[in-house]
Amino acid sequence: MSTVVNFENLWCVFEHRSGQLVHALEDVNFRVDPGEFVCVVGRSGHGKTTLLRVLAGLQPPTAGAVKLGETAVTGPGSDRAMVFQQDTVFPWLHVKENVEFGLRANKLPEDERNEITDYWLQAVGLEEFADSWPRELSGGMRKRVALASAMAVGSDVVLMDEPFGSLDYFTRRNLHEVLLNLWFETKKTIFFVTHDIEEALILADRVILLAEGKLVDDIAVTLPRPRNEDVRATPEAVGIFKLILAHLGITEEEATQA
Amino acid sequence: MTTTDSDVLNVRAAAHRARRRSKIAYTLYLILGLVVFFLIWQLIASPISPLFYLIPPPVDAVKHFAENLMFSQRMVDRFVHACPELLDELEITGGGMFDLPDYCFGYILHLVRTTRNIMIAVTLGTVFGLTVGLSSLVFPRIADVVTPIAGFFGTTPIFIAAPFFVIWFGIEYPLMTTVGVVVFYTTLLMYFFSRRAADNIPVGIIESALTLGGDRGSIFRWVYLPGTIPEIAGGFRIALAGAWGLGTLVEVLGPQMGGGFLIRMWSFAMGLLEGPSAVVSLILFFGVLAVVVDGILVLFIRYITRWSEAGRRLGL
Amino acid sequence: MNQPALFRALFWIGLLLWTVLGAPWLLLQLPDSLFFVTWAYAEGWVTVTWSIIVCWLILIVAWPVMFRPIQVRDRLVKMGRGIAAGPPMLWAGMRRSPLFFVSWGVLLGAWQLGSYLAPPGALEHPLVPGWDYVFGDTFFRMSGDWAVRGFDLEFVGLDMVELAPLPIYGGEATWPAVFLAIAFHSGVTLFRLLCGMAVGMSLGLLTGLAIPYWPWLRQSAWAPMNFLRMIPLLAAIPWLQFAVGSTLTGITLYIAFGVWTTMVVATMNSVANVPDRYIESARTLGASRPRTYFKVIVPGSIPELRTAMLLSMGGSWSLAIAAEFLGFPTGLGYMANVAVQETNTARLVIVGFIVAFYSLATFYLLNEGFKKTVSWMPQRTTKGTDISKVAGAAGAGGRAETFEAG
Repeated sequence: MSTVVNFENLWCVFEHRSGQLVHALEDVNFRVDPGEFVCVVGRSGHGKTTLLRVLAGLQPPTAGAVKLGETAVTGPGSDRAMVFQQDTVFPWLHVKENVEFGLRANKLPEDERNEITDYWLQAVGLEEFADSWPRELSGGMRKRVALASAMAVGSDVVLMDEPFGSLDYFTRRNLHEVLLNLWFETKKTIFFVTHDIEEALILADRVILLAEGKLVDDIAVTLPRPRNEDVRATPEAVGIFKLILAHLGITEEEATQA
Repeated sequence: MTTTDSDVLNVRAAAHRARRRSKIAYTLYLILGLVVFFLIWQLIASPISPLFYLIPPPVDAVKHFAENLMFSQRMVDRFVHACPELLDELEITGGGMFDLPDYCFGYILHLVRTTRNIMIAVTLGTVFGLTVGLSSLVFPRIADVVTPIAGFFGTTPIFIAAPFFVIWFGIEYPLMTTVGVVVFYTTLLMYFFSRRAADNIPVGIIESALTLGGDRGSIFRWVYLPGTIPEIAGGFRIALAGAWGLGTLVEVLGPQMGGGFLIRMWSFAMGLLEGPSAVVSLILFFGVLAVVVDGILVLFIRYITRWSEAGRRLGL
Repeated sequence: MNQPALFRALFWIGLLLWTVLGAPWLLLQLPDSLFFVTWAYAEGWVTVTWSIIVCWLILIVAWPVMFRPIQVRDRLVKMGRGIAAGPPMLWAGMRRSPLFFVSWGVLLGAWQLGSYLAPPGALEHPLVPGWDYVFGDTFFRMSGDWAVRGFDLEFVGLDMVELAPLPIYGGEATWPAVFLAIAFHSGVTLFRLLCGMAVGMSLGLLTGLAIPYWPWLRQSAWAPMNFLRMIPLLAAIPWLQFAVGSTLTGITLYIAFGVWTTMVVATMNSVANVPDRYIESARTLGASRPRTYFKVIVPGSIPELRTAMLLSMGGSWSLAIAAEFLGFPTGLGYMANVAVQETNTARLVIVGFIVAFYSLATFYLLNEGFKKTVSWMPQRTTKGTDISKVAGAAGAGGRAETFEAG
C-alpha cells in the first residue's frame, strides 16, 4: 500500500467531427497519498469521468501524465481496477466466475483463486448467489458483484465512476456501508467520481472539485466517521457543502429547488 | 505552475494531429482492402488457378461489359427476338431490324428495364406494406387478421412464390412476373418492419403522449410515424438488397427480357471464351448497382434519422 | 443422479459388443420379407454401418433411460400432458384470438372461391386450383416424383428403388410412392441445406470472429466483404450450374458462400456492437488483449448472432430451393420445377406447403437451440414481430446488421 498517485499537468482535448476542440481536462495537477478516499465532484460534462479514464489508462492524455509512484500510466491494468457507472458484470459468466475474472487474467493458481473469490463474495454478502446468472440478481446485487470483482484483483488503487448513481436511496446507503467497511479493512486508495455532494461528504477524506475541466478546489473532509445524519448536520459539514456549491456555481436557492 | 497560451496551442495541435492520423489510417486501410480484394480476384482468374476458366479477371469482365453495353454483336445474332419492345417498334416503323439504333442491341435496354422493374416493384410493395402496417397501428384489428398470414409467408423461403408468378403470367406478361414476385416480397417485409418498428417504440412515450392529450390520429402523426422511420428505413434497405437477386432470378426463370434473361442466354454459351466474362460481368453489374443504390439510401436515411441511434450508427 | 463409473464403463462395453456382434446377428435373424433386412445382407462393412446406425438409435433412447430415468419419466409425463392439453389449448386460442383462425379461414376460402372464378386458362390444370383439386388427384399423382437419382443410399446398402414401384419406369402410382417421394426429396434438400449451412456458418463465424481481432484487418476487410454480400447470388445460379454442375459439392459451396458472406459481416458487426464498458472493465481487471477478446468480446457478441443465423438460414433455404429448381434432378426445388413444367399450380401449392413446414420447423429449432445455448442471456419476451417470423423472406436480403441497428 505505498503507491502515490500524481496528476501532472494533465490535459485532455478532443476534436469533434465538426473540427471543434473540446477541453475535457485543462492542466490538472494534484497528488493522492496511499489509502486516501478521494471523491471527484463536479457537474456532468466537466471532466470527472475523463479524469478517471485517464487514470485507468482507458484514455491517453493529450499532454501531461498520471504517475503511479514513478511510473506513468500508459494503459489499463489490474493495479487500477475500476467499477463503472453502467452495469459491467459479464452476463455470460456466473457470479463467482465474474469475481474470479481478474484473478484468472492474472494467472493465479486455482486454490488461491477460490479462496480469494469466496472471501470477497462473503465480504459483499453474495456467497449464496455464487452460482447464479447475473440476470437473476437485482441491480444493487450486480453492483456488489462488480465491487467484489474490482476488490478481488488486489489492486492498491480502485476507481469508481458514479457506481451507485442508478440505484435507489436505500440500496445506495447500504452499498456506502459495504464500501466503507471494505475500505477500512483494506486501506486501498479509492477514487470515487460522483455528482452527489451528499455522497461525497459521507465517503471522502478529500474532495477534488472540477469545473469546466479545471481543478477549482481540493477540500479536506475531516468530519468524524461514521458520518450519519447528525454529523452531516454539523456546522462544519454544512460549511463544506456550501463551499462545494459555491465552487460549482450553484446558488443555495437552486440547490434547495433541486 | 501556470498555463501559458503556447501550452494551450501545443495541446490543441496534438489533439488535431491525433484525429487526422486516425482519419488517414482509416482511408489507407480501406484502400488496402480493395487492392487486396482485386489482387485475390486476379489470382483466382489467372491460369495457375483451377477456377480460371470460370472466373474472368476483373479487367475482362469490365471490358466485356463496356463493349456490349451499347451494342452487342451477339445480341444481333441471337437475342433479337428477346425484346418484345423491339419487335413492337419494328411493327410500328415497318422497317427492318437494322433500321433500329445501335443501343437497341446493347445490354443497356435490358439492364435499364430490370432496374426500372425492380424499383417500381419495391416502391409498390413498400407502399402496400406500409399502408397495411401503419393503418394496423391505428386499427389494431387489421394486425390481428394480417399478422398470422404474413408470419406464415414471411417464414417461407421467398423463392417458392416465384414459380406461381411464372405460371400465372409466364412469358406473356414479363413485367407482371418480375414485378409480382418482388411486390409480394417487399409488401411482406415492409408490413413486418412497420409492425416491428411500432413495437419498439417505448410504451412510456405513447403513454406520455396520451397524458398530454393526444388522440389516436395525433399520436399516429407525431409519435408512430416519426418513431418508426429508422426501422422502416432499415427494412427498406433489406427489401431492396434482396430484390435485386430475386428480380433477376425471376428473369432467369421466365421472361424473355431483362438482365436475368441475358444471364440465362449467356449461361448456355459458357463454353465460349466470352461466356464467363459475360455472366460474371452481368452479376457484378447488379452487385455494384446494389451497393451504389444502398450507399445513396444510407446517405438519405442518415439525414432523415439523424436524431436517432440507428442513424448515428449508419454514419460510422 | 450420478451412477458409479463402473456402470458407465459396462454400458459402453455392452454397446460396443452390441454394435459389432449383437446388431448384425439380430439383423440377419429377421425374416427376409421385411424390406430393410435386405439392406443388411450386403457383406462386410455395410452390415457394420447399419449396426452402428441402429445402435446409435438405441443409444439415443437407452442412455437417458439408463442414467436419467427420472428425467425421462418427467419428460414423458410432460409430453403426455402437452399432448392432452393440445385440443383445449387450441380451443382456448380460438376463443382468445378468433381472428387468427378467421383470417386463415378467409384466406383458404378466398382461394377456393378464386378457383371457381379464375379463368380456366388454356392449360391442362386450372390456374387457381381448389383445395379438392390440390389434395385429391394431384396429391396422389405426386407419386410420379418418386425416382431415385444421383442421391441413392446404395453406399449404405439401401436400394431405394425396391421400396415402391417407380412410375417413371412404368410402375403404377401408389400412396407409399407419394410419401416416399416427399420424404426422399425433402431428405435430399435438408441434407444439402445442412451441408451448406454447416460449412458456411462455421467458416463465417471463424472468419467473422478472427477478422476484428486485428483492427487494421477489420477496416480493410469491411469494403470487400460488404460488396461480396451485396452480390445477387440468386442470379448466379446459371453460372453455378456451369461451374460445378449439379453436384452436392457445388450446391454446398454455393449455399456456404451465401451463408458465409452474411455471417462474416454480421459477426463483424456484432463484435463491433459489444458494449465498450465490458471491454474496458475487463482491461481494468488486468485481462490481456487475447483474453479480453476470447472471454469478453466473443461471448458478448453471441446474442446478436441469433438474427444473423436466422437470416442465413432464410437465405440458404431460398438458395437451395432455387438452385435445385434450376438444375438438380432431386430435391424440393426439383419438385417445384416439375410442377412448373406441367404448369400445375396445384402441385406447386403442395410443394409450397411442404417447404413452408420445413422452414418453420428449422427456424423453430434454430431459435430454440440458440436460446438453450445462451441460457445466460436475459430472456426477452417474444413479440409478435420477432425476426424469426420473417426470416424466410428477409434472408434474401440478408442484412443482419440493419436489424440490430434498429
